[in-house]
Amino acid sequence: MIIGYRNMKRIKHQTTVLACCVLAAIFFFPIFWMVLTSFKTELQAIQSPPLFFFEPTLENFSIIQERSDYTKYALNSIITSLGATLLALVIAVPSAYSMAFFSRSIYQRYLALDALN
Amino acid sequence: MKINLYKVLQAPSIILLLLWMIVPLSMTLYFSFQRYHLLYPERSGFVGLSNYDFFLTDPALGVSVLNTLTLVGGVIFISVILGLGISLLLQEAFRGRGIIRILLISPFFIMPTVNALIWKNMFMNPVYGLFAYVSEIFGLPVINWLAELPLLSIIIMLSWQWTPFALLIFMTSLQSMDQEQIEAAEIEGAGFWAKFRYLTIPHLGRAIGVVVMIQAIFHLGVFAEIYVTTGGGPGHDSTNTTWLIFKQALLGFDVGVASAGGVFAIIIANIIAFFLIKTVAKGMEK
Repeated sequence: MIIGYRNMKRIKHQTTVLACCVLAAIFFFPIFWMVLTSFKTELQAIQSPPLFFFEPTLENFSIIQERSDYTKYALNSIITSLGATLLALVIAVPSAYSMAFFSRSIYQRYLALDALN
Repeated sequence: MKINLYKVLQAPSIILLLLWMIVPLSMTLYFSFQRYHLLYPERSGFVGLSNYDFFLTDPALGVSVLNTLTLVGGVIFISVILGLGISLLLQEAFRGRGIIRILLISPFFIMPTVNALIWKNMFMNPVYGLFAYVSEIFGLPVINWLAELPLLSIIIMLSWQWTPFALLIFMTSLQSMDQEQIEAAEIEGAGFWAKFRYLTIPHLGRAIGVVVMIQAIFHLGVFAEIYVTTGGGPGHDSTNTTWLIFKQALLGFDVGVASAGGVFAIIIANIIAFFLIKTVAKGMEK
């Protein structure tokens, strides 16, 4: 059977799209599974075979609030990450700028231009 | 005038980096020649090279260095190959490509401890993990991943997290590729491999260099994943140099030996960095 050039191209396109979807599903699956497990009860979470369909519960979200000061910890994470980024930017941007535009070494210039990009 | 501005703009970063480098480094060097054991604070003083002797004759050292290199090499190899492949696939334009991209990059935004917990509890657990379930379906023997293949387990976790990083860098780099050049090559009859070998790889040279360098920096100090999952075990099967130093300092309470280990790790990191920067710089000058 002879497949036309156009058909060939279409098949190639469709295979590529399919491969992308499968890969994305594989890479995202652990995160999806984590989210799904967060709605399970303790017993459902360790059930074998694993449950895909179950009655969701919000129990875990209230338990974690009871056991720890979760909002505070989350806020701590946000403050440290934003603060560190801000501080690093304040110090690094002028330096990268001056390396990119005033430096004579090609290596330094490329490195800084890359960083600025 | 220009020279002055140049210096003023660079001064804060250079001074800060120097301080951040010199102070901890000199303290580590100082402690590495001292007896400094947290349980015997009264026994202190200069001990010469005995800390180094103790650390370098540790039977776990050879294993840990080998583990570190396997970890760094393995993760970089897997993430660069996968990242390259997926970024090439994603060059094809189709509807919903944005969502696919986000899904593919999302693992990079998971915290290392959470990453390790997901894999440890939900996938690699021999009783209720998904891997165990899947291998049971196919009638294969159930693997207790963290006990039997601890280093491979950690490589899998890290690769899952860092492939998106490589993918992100390669994707942005591929977007700046000259489309006319590719078309010209296609008209000349270049197939996929010819285009890949003579257009894509040279274009991505610098991006690959950057990915390898940044990943090497991060993976030389992998800690969270080991702490959460295997704890360096079983035996020393998943102990890397960072973990060995941690064990000396905080589980063995011996700051002196841990500092000697730190100096040793710095030397290793510098040897690797020397070759890496040389290759990356070579790629940049082209």
